[in-house]
Amino acid sequence: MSAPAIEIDNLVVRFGRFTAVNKLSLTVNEGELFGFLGPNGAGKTTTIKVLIGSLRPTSGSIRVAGFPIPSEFERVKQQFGYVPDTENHIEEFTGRENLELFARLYDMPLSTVDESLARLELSEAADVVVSAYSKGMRRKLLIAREIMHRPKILYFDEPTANLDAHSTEVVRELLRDLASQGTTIFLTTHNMEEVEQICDRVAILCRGELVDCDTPTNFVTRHAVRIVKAQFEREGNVIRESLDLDVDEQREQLAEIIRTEKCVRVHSQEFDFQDVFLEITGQAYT
Amino acid sequence: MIRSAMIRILLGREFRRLRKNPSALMLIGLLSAVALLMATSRPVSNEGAQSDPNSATQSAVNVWLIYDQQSQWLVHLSENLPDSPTIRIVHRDRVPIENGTWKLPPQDAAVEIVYGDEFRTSQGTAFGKVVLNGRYPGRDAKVLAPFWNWFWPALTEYHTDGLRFEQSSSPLGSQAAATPASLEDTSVADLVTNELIATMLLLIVMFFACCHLLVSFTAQDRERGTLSALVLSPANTSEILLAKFLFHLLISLGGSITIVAILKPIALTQPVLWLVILLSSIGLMCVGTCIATLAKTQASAALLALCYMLGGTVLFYLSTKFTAFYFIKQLAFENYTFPLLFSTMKRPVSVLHAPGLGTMFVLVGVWIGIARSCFYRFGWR
Repeated sequence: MSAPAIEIDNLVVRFGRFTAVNKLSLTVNEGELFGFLGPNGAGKTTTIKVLIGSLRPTSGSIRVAGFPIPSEFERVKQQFGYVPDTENHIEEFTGRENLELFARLYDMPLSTVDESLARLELSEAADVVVSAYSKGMRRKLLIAREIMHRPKILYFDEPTANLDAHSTEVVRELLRDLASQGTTIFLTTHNMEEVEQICDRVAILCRGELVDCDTPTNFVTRHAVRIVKAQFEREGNVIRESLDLDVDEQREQLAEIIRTEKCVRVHSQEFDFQDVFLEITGQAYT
Repeated sequence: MIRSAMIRILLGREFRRLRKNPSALMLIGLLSAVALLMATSRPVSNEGAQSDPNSATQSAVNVWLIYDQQSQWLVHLSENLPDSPTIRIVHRDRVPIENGTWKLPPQDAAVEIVYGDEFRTSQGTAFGKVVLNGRYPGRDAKVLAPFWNWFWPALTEYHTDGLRFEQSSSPLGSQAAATPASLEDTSVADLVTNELIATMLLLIVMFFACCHLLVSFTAQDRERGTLSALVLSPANTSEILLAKFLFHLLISLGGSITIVAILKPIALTQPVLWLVILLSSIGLMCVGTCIATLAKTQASAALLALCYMLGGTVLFYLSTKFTAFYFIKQLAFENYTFPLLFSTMKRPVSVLHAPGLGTMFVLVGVWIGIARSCFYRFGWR
């Protein structure tokens, strides 16, 4: 088993009387693509801010790449990249100038600038000032900046926010690629499809507390429902039935429908991470 | 640990940003243009004097400055007497008297120093009103103008913080004016010298480059999140702060060199002048850093910087009226900047200014500590 890249033990963050994060314990392994989910105000961004050393925890211990945070912040910060949910470019600079500044700070060869720009499909806009960039381009430039120094850990706050379908796929592919090369990726998102598609493991945070943590596959297994939806015609009317296969009567009813009725469609209900998320966070539709 | 490579990169970033937005330096260019125009134009007052050969201001008379209580500012004045007019600083007991009135040589004038009722000393510092009763021969009060033109700038060089001076004039042989009016016989324009203007321009340049511009740039960096991006890079907080300080210091020094070179080139060789500019610039940058880190937005930071400047002006005014404000003013390094700059513009600084310079060192040191603490705690978070 690989060594933990991030270890959070009993993390508590309070703002006055308000507890933003309460006794959060979590381990993220090296090379893992870890999804951090939760409704608005659950404490996701607060947790990331503690991890990047921007916020001091009220109590608890955090180790990132083996170093305690925030005491060893200066040593650990070179090993991670952080893509915040809002871009923070130098507006007067071009995309290339922005990246060149950070390449110099990280002591990286300037060729990495072109590589990063190309990877995020920004080569053509490289010499345009950032103030003229669209939201999606700004987002991609931010990602290009943070992957340029090949960090061991990458924190992403909403990685595909403001991106079109093509760019979203480019970024997801990039994340998969980075993870396969050993980069630990810790991302927060509201996009459940993204979580299912790319995450190795998912933690769900609600009101500052960890309510569940598992692989997407296990989530499917644990929360899958064996429901079949049947649509058939009877006396000129279209009738829809939803039948639970774990209930004997309903299973027999399904067999009867298939045998006697004129079925239009019969299909199983797909696993929906959104429903699971809402159910777990206590906001499921009734 | 401070790495020179990091400082170079961060400094380069600041200059590149300035190059993209050169309008930020418009004020310094404007002030330099003012200095250049001053240096290349003839003073208007001289032209006026030349056109009026009978002007009384041309006929400088000898002046007796009469006191009955010795003080440090009088010592300072005696060390800085002008070539013309001839001024004698004498104790009242040494002035020849005949029939109860002063018997001065014909055409000599006198200025009597009278301490007001409110005058008092506290902890070695004098407070209250000092009235200067000018007594002139003949009927034209303007014969005292050369004296006043020397007296007020020379007095400004010395710390007479707690004292409030007023000036009156009356003919010799008559009673002194009962209610002396401040500066009634001296045009403020006559007191404005190149040194005074250069000092004012330097103060504006320093405030603009080290406080206003730093506040604006740093608050912008904070608001946009650029500062946090830099802090999360390998550059550490000290390097980021130092690069910012160096950048603004270079602008301040550049602007100051330009203005001094234009208006008073001889002062370029005064090491104390540069020491005062350096200390003031650092002090102002520390104030700017605190403002930028405590303000939430760039707009509120700019407003705070303006409030700081206006608040300082009000404090300096109130300090001439109320003792409490006087003591608060002593804790402001800016209190020592003006007299030291003005003095060094005119001549090598005297030993009398050593306490002011020393206090400035200490106060700026305290500000460095406060600014560093503010930036570390709130600067990028």
